Amino acid sequence: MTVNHKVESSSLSGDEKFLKPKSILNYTLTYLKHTLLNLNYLVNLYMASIKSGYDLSTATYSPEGRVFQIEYATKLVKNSPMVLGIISNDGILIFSEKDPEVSRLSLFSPEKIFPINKISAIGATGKTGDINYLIQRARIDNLSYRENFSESLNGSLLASRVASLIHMHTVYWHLRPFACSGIIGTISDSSPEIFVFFPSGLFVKCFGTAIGKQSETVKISLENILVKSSNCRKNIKEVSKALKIVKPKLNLRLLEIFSLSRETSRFDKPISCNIITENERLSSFYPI
Amino acid sequence: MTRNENLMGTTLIVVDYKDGVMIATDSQTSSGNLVTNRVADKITQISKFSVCCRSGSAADTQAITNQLRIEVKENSTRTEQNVKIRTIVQMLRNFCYKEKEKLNCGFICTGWDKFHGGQIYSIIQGGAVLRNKIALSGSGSLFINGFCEENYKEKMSRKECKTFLGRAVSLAILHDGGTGGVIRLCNISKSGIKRSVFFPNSQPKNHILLKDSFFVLV
Repeated sequence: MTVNHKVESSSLSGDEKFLKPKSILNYTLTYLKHTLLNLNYLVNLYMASIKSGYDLSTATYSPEGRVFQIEYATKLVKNSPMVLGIISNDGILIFSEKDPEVSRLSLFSPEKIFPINKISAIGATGKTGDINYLIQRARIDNLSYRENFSESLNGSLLASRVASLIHMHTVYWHLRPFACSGIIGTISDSSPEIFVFFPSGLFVKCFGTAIGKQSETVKISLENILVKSSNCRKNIKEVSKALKIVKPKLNLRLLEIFSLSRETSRFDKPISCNIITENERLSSFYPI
Repeated sequence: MTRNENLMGTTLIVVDYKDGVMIATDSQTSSGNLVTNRVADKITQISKFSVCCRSGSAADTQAITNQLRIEVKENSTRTEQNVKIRTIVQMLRNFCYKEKEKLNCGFICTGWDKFHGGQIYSIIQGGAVLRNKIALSGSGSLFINGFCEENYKEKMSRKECKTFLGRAVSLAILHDGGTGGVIRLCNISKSGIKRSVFFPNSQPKNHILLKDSFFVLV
C-alpha cells in the first residue's frame, strides 16, 4: 500500500477518527474497530469459520451438533412482537402485542390469537404465513378428531399435534422450518393448561410464559403475578401494568386480549368494553 | 327400549341406578331347537369401566368389538386417562354406520364415567344412537316390557336394582323359549366392573298351579 497521506494512529477512544476516515488504511482500521467493539459480531466471526456450509439446509448438522437453520428461525421469533400467556384462578389469559408499524392503520392489523374450538386458542408470533397454515391444520385436525371421538382436541393432544407438524418441517431437506412459536391455552378435564411450542418442535407445559421481543424481562414479573393467584379479570390489569413497565411506549389499544374463564362460555375477548380504558387509567397512575 | 331383530334368542336389560349402571342377561345360545351353550357370557368388556352387550349376528359383533378394544386402548394411551363413554359410542357408531350394508348388529354400550356418571347408549342396526335410562334388547325383552315399565324407579339402591333385574330376567326365562340358563349380573360404578351369577327363580306362582289342577279335576 503506498502511503501518501499520514497514517494516523488508531486508538479506540478516538471518536473523530471514527467519523472521518481519511485513507484506505484508516478506513479499514475504523471498520475493524467497529466490528471488534460489537461483541455480537465477534461471536459471529468466531463461528463463521465453523459454520461455513453447515447452515445451508435443515438436514445438515454442524460438528458441534447444532442445526443452524432452526436457530435462525428462533432468532426470527425473538425479534417479533410479544405474546404472553398466564393461568389464573378461574381460567386462562392470552395477551398479544400487535406490531405498531403494521397496525398503524387499524384496517390492516393482523390477528395473533386464534380460537380453534370452544375450549382452546393459540397465540402465535413469527411469520404470519406460517402461522396461518398452522392454525388451518389445527382447526381441521380438531374437526376430524371430533368426528371420530366426539370430543374436541384439547390439552396435550392439541399441543403434540401442533408440535409434531412443526417438527416434521425440521427433518427434511426440501422443507424449511416453521418460523413461528406460540402459546396454546386449553382446558382439559376442567383444569386450565398452557403449552408453549418452539420452531424446533419442542412443546412445554407451563403456568405462564412470554415469547418474542423483551420476553425475558416480562417473565420475571409474571412470576410475581402467578404467586398472587387471582382472577382473570384482576390478572388482566396486573399484566398490563407489568407490560407498561417493560415497554413504556406501549399503546394499550394495540394489545389483543383473549380469555377463557367461567364468565365466558368459550375462548374469546373478555366481556366489557372498558377494560382497555381502565388499564390506561391504571397505568397512567403507576410511577415508572 | 329397543327392539332388535336378532339371530340369537336372548334377553338383555341395562338399568341406570344410583351409583352407576347394572346389566342383567340370560346365558343361553341356541341354534333352532338345540341349546348349544347353556352358560354363555353375553357381556363383553371393552375397557376398564365400559362394557358392551351384543345382539345380532355373532360374527359381526365379535369382529367389531375386537377392533373397538384396540382403538379404545390407543385412545386411552394418547389421552392418558380412561376413555369417556361418549368416545367409545362414537367410534362404534361410525363403524356401524359406514358399513351398514354389510353388517347386521346392534349394541348396547354402557359404562361409568367420572364426567357424566353411568350412561347407557343403544346403537340400533343402521347406526342410530339413543341414550336412555333403561334399555331392553333381545327376543325375551318383548315379554317383560310391561313389567319393566311398571317397576322401574329412578335412583334405586344396589339391592333394589338387583332384585328388580332378577325378577325381570326370571320372567323372561319363564315365557321365552330362546332365553334360559342362569342370570349374569354386571355392576359398573366408580370402583370398576363387578360380575356375579345366580339362578333364576322361575317357579310358576301358586295361583297358576291351582288353575291347572282345577281344570284337571273337573
